[in-house]
Amino acid sequence: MNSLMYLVFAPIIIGVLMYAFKIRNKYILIALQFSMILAAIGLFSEVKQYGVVRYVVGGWDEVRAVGITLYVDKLASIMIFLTAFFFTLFELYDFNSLERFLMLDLFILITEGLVIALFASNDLFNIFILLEISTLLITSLIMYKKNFVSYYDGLVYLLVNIIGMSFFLLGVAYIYRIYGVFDITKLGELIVTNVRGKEYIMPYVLLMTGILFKLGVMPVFSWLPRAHGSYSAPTIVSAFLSGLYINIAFIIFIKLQTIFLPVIDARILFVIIGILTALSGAFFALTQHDIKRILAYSTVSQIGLILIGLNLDSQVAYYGSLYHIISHSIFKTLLFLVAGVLINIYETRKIENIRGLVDTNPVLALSMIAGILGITGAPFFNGSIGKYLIGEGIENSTFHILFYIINFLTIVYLSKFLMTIFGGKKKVSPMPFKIKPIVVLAILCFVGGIAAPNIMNYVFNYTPKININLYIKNMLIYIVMLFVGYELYTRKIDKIKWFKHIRELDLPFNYIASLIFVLFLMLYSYCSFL
Amino acid sequence: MLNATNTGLILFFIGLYGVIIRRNIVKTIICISIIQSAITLFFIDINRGDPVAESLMITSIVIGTSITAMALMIYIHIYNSYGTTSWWKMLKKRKDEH
Repeated sequence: MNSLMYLVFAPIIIGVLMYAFKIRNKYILIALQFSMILAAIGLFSEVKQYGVVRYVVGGWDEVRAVGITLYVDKLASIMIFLTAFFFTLFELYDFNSLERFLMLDLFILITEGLVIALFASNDLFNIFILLEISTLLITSLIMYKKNFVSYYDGLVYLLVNIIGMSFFLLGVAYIYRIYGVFDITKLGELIVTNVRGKEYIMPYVLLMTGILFKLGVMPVFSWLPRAHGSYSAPTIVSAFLSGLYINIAFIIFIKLQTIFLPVIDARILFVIIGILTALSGAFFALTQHDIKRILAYSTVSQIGLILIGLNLDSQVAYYGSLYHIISHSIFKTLLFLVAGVLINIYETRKIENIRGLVDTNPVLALSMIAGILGITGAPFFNGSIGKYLIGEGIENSTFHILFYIINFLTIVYLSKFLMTIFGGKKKVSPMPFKIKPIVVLAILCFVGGIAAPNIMNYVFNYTPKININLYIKNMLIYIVMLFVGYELYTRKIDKIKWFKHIRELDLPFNYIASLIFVLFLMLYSYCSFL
Repeated sequence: MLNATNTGLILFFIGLYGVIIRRNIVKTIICISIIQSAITLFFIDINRGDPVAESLMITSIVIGTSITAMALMIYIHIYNSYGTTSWWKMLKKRKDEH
């Protein structure tokens, strides 16, 4: 057994065995997670040594290229490491809470195996099947506490995702019809050599519709905040969805873009979609009061930002985005875990009623500040590196202004979190959660900022050239934006009346479904006019 | 020409039309099943008698069935609490509750 197969199957088999024999032992779970971290490190060093690790499950003929292939490059191996690491933190954070039962352990372990398999999968049909199974599991996880409000959210999540993935499956069918393969690497070779007319447009558009839907971009993002900020999901599930699950869509997006880029270049459209997504996500986050909803809309906004960087036709911005994907995982997981503790202490999800965190728990307050500094791109924290590099890749000056507006809106909506630190009285309540994992993540936010060039050099073999003058200029802009944003938030924005209507805006199912079709038409018309 | 491939594509868009237009939740679930059958039909007509496509479609059908079962189960819960089968009426009741 190699380490990749261990990483995929160990959590699933142990989860099923523990469920079947009704064992619930903390030490078995922790030992499993630590062994997975070790296996992930082993896999990473193997990838570092050989470039890629490739494994064909079941010994299918590689020439035919229809079997299940696992293919781990550097980015995938770092994602697998993050998965093992975050799930260890989740187990440490939340083993003893009332939310945890045997069933949740089983679901979480199976999800872990599936996510690792998804990061490694390199054939389209396997990706489809794993995404469908994980959709089913996540639907049951976001309805876990059986709150009636969340049944509706769960049903919308399930059905809308199935429709989105139907487009993906039809795209896979077209690929098989034209090229006769499922393997992505092989497909990349065939696309370049067999150019027969423009028949690759239809499969490309169908596959991209499915993946952009999974990313939650501009016209189709309304399902994402409902799922990620669900009322009855346990905290670790929300943290997992926003921190890790969204990365899968990015990995698949990058793989597909890499193979289709020689023949079809729709990057300008993706940049425009990214800008719209970032702006609208930030704007919706501004109007929310619910602590988990703010974070969920913030995920939408960051997805837009990463999408801009990936499609800018600049190496600096590309690697900046890759680094920002990792940074986003760290600070978004941190903020969701903090939000879970806050909801538990104050027994409310309304951010206005949470005050005086520094008296209640100073360590938690400090960790939260580290997360906020990370996500807003404060100097010396991990978010700043990605944002700086993406900003450097932008050449157009209008883009630059939009980019600063996005950063400014991020600061304004996170001012809501800064407000929770002071004021109010000390509040004491029993805490089922552990704070240590949060502190670890907060330290990582800082280390990720300080040691960014070294980490990027080690992981991607790419050393970013950080211009000190420009970095200091960005730092000054950040400080000015921080003060202006905070003032603007406390004086003006909180009192705007019509925000109420936007907050309660709730698209009916039929509109969400038709927006998927609109996305498809938009992509198709753009690609056929290229 | 009315072969299996074109029928599959037509059925796909019929299902999509139903998902976009119909406001009844049960009809939405039925339309999603139509979409899945359409893709299955499209897939197995690529190479007649190709064992790879057929075995993959069996997997896809199994997953489709479990999705339908799960959607219907959630639907029964929602119906018991809201007492309606319409997406729009349900949304209105949700807003009134908040």
